[in-house]
Amino acid sequence: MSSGQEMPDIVTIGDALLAQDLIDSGIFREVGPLFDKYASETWKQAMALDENVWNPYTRDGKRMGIPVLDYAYNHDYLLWIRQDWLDDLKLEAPKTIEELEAVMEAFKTRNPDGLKPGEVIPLSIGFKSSMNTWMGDPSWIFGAYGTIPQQWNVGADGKLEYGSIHPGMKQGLQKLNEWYDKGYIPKEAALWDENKTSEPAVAGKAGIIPGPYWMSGWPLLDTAKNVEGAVWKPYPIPSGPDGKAGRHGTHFTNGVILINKNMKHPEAFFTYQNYLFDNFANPEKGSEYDLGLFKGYDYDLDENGKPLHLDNIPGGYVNSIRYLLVRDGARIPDAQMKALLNLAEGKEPETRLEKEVKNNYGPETPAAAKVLLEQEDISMKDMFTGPATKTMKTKMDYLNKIESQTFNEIIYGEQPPEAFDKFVETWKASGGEQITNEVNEWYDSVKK
Amino acid sequence: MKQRMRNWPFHIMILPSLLFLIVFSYIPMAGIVMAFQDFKPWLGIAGSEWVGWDNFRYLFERQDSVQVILNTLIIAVLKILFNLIAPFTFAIFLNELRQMAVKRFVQTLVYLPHFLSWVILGGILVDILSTDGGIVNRVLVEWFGIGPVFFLGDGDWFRVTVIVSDVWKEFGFGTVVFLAALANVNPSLYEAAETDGAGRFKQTLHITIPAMIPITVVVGTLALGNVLNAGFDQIFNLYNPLVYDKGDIIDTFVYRTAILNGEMGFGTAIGLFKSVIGMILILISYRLAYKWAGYRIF
Repeated sequence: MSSGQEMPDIVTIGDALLAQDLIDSGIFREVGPLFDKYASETWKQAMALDENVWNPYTRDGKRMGIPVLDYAYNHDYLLWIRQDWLDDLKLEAPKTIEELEAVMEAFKTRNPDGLKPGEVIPLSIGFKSSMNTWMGDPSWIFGAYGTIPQQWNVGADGKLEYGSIHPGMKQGLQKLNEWYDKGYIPKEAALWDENKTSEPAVAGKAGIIPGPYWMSGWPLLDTAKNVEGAVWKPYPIPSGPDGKAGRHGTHFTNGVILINKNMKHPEAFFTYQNYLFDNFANPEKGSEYDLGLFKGYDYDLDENGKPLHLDNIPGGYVNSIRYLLVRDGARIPDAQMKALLNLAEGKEPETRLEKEVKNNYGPETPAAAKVLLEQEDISMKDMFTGPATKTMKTKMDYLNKIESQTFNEIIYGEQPPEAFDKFVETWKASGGEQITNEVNEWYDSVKK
Repeated sequence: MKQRMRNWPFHIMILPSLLFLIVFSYIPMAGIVMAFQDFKPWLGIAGSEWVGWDNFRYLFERQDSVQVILNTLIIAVLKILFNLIAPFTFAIFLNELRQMAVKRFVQTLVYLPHFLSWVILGGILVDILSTDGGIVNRVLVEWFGIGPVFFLGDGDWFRVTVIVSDVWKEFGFGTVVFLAALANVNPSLYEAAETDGAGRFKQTLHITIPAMIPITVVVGTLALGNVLNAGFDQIFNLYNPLVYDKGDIIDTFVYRTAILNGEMGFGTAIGLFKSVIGMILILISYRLAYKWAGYRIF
């Protein structure tokens, strides 16, 4: 690009930063009108599931890139709890933070596997990378007090506010500090990243781990190999004293499709993509893609016409979907969840998607999907999806740094909870106020 | 002239490396102008906006700039110092070993950690230094009744851990250089000293150590160029929110602000800043080494 080479007609890109750079480069055309004119009904309906998907790629009201749709709720999380431990202790799954504390206490002091209190990690979470991540994520603890940190939430006045400076954070931090003292969370949580939090869970030393619905397949599937009889079951996020609960949400988009200004017939791309949405994304039973995309690549048939998958395919498995113009082919955000719900209700897998989730995901995944959707209303998405604002570029890293440090020090008891109030002041004075204004300016510009 | 004619094959032999240097070191230097631009890839070097010293100003205008630069200096200087002392001393001890087999074995053994990646070593350190059953803390608590010490979560201990683990990893590699210097000492010097009645200690003091001074000066001078490199991969794999105030260094800060945000102009500016400081220090120490130790490196 820097050497001025010509860009392809269609560029699909997942990297948000690069996508914004490419849009700003002026090499690509406005796509909004094209989409309205040429996209098929299936595609348009999929796109309409969340009106915010266009936001990151909108400039002055013009839609500059087509969002690549992804399956919904992929990064939403729930609590995975050791069901065998609960059963042994004759405990119910916790519905509130208070009940959760009782369960953690029981896991620690009356451990069914005979682990000593010092060996059990009742709740495996980590803060090394962020307080808002994907596995071993602590953000729901703040959700119980009405906020999700490290993202922009819609405030009471309809404006965006930064989750980490919400007063609820202080209560959440106090709770975590209490749990740290009682040994409910790992002593070295500040040093643990996402993968590290899964280690004690897989080793059979942790009782609860927050994580996405697909964790039943990986990594938790391995627990039973280490501890006989270990069973992980998905449970909803517990609520706080005021009945509030919250988790971070997942955007329905994971990239963008850009169309070159010089492309002579952009409608050709829509013909291609419409076909995929109509015939491949979520076809009815009996479609030609029931088993996969290309015979001999991502599936095959043996001489009796029985389907072969993965390693059983002669010559090996080739994920041919990756070779389509758009990385994942065509995904309808709610289609996978619907397929999982069908399976959760005991339906035999029939359609392409139902077969796919059955073959590729862990045993508890359908049940987890159900739990996830039952709590749909507590999911809070990061509402700021635009390009980094001017002040963000220069100030955000410092703000993030003092935030992580203050929060961790409060949890570790090195600073009193009052340090939070001082942090909020510093945050606002050191550029946070200005960033909030810029973020809201952007929000106003995309809000319909 | 005649001599030059005779040497021409040798000059030809230098040519490939010279070309290599021009293509990969000198030509890319033109990219330094990015340090003074708000570089945007699609506009290129020719088209990006000229911002003068803005990128440099930003490094010094952050509230934590002084802290970050100070952290870098403290960690880097201590690393340089101990990475000289440790191999220096170890080479002397190893040189005193008369059994070649043992010497070779030890030499290889201490040399090995140099090849371990910090990504792996970081994971290992987190485990063995854990306050929750890590082997180091178990020994401290059970044998000495101290601690447990939160090596990676306490700012001051974090610096100690970073320096000690770096020295442990690298001193074997440094030892090799010093041993090479010692292999060049003329054995007749030791024989003469023995005749004069000097014991092993006196021999070390008056022959071995003076023989090592020149190479120490070279290694030390070259290391000074790294005074603003506190070791990105090590810190990045070990640091965490609890030690940001004592452990955040220029490189980790550049990674977060320049690389993750695609601010290439800023990244280049920091690189340039570090190179200039490094060059100044190398030049100064080169002069000093010549003046005091009478030694010319180049």
